[in-house]
Amino acid sequence: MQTLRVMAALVVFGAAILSYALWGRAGRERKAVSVPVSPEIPVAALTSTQPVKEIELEYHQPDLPPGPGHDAFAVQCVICHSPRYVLNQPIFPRKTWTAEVHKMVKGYGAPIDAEQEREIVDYLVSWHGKEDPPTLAKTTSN
Amino acid sequence: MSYARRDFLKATGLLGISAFLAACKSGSVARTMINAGLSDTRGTGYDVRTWARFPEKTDLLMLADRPPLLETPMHYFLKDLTPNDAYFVRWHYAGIPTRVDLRTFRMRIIGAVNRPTELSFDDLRTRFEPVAMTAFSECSGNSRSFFRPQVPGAQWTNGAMGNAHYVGARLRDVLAVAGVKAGAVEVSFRGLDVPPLQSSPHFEKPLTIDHALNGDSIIAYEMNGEPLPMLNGFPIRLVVPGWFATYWVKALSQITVRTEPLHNFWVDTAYRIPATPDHSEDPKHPSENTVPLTSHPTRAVFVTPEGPVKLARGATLQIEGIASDDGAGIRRVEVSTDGGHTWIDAALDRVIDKYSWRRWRMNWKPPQIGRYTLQCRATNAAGATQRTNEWNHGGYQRRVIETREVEVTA
Repeated sequence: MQTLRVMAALVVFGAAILSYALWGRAGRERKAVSVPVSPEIPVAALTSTQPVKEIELEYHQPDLPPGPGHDAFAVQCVICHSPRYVLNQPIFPRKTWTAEVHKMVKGYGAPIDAEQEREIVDYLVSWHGKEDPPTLAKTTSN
Repeated sequence: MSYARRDFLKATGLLGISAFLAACKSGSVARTMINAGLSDTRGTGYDVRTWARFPEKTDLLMLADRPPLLETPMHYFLKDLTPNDAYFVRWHYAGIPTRVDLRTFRMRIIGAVNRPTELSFDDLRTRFEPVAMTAFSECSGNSRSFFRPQVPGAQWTNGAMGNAHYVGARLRDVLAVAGVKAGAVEVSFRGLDVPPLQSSPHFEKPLTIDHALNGDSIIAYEMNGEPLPMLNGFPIRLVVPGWFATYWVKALSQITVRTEPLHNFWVDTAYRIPATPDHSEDPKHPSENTVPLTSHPTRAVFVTPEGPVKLARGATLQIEGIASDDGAGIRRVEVSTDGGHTWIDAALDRVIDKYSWRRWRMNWKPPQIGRYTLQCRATNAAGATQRTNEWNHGGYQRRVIETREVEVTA
């Protein structure tokens, strides 16, 4: 009896979520129609008819797992890009993550000091990486 | 059930629900890719791409949201032209243009010119002879997710490409207005996108002066008969036909004529390939010398089947694809049904334009029950064709022969 009641509650709850989801999408699609550009306006008439184009970007930033280094990541890395950039990467060994984080500092000018750099690498390895295989670790101990 | 455990479940449950509701509200109900024929070839077990709808765009595969990296689903490549709302999107920094006023927008030409010049959108449209072309463009890292070993970078499958019809002014004509000074060696291009920090290098890419003046490149103000979508470079975009999209600077706002070659991160570090004759390297011993990547290699891609496919005996498989190169012209696409031992010519569609992709097709009826390995390879007018194995550390300009597994059952 207890099980039945729980199941019924779950079904009702699931239906509620699903309808909210569908409503969310429909609402979004209606909104998309109001995007201030329509193909009917020829490019030649653009400057006089619709001189301003403006879009509003939505963010779809995923939450990241807690753990040592999370804060350093959340403060520094997100300046230039969404955490999704990490989620989209394969599970890399420590060596690759080390090189990637260093590239962000050296190539892209991220204001990350050496200690934070280590913290961020540890954080990435902890949930989206793996330790180097022994042979690789030997040659890249620096 | 212990209290701790119950609380934990409650907490995670709520978290999941709130995340889900948030996703619904923002319009990206996470229709996470379920295989879609990609799992075998990606192999990470970590495909987190979801569908998302960005402004002026239809539902595309979102690799990242800020800056947006959006991939075109393969079925759009069954047509000659890729619609604007389905065209792939790639920017480098979060600081991308979201508002442009054509009354105040100016494109500047500075550097080694006789008359530093500012041109409005209307200037570009009315003061120069309009030129039209259909051109293929492709992200330098398209198909990166197929490299083994895997490499860092946006994990595109095959959808970071497209074919569109552009109208614009010749870069040569526009440069002539400013008057290129003798001694110029390069012309470099910047857009309205801005780096997030003083210390970050502004995205800027150069062409040699000869390339910039050869009459091929255009400053496009029209894409498929419409204004460009904001995310594809509204109001104007450099079109460098035959060359990778990294040179097609979006929201073009500044052209600098240079007497010294440009050196920045985007030239000296990023977008470079091994300097070996075939631009391939051994993952264990990467090449010390690299060169900037430039034009599209000759390549054929399957559009259908998109992934591994199962067929009933006696059924015919319709195979379709596209082939692209640097503009010399695709002359031949061959398909193998036995893993590359023998090859059959596919039928080529008409030539759309010099720098366009060329579509190809073949109907194939498997002779008997069993497993087959399909492959496709293109050859262009210069004789350039494809190989089965290549690798480079940046995951750039993939042109390895593609494979599709087919299983024929009773």
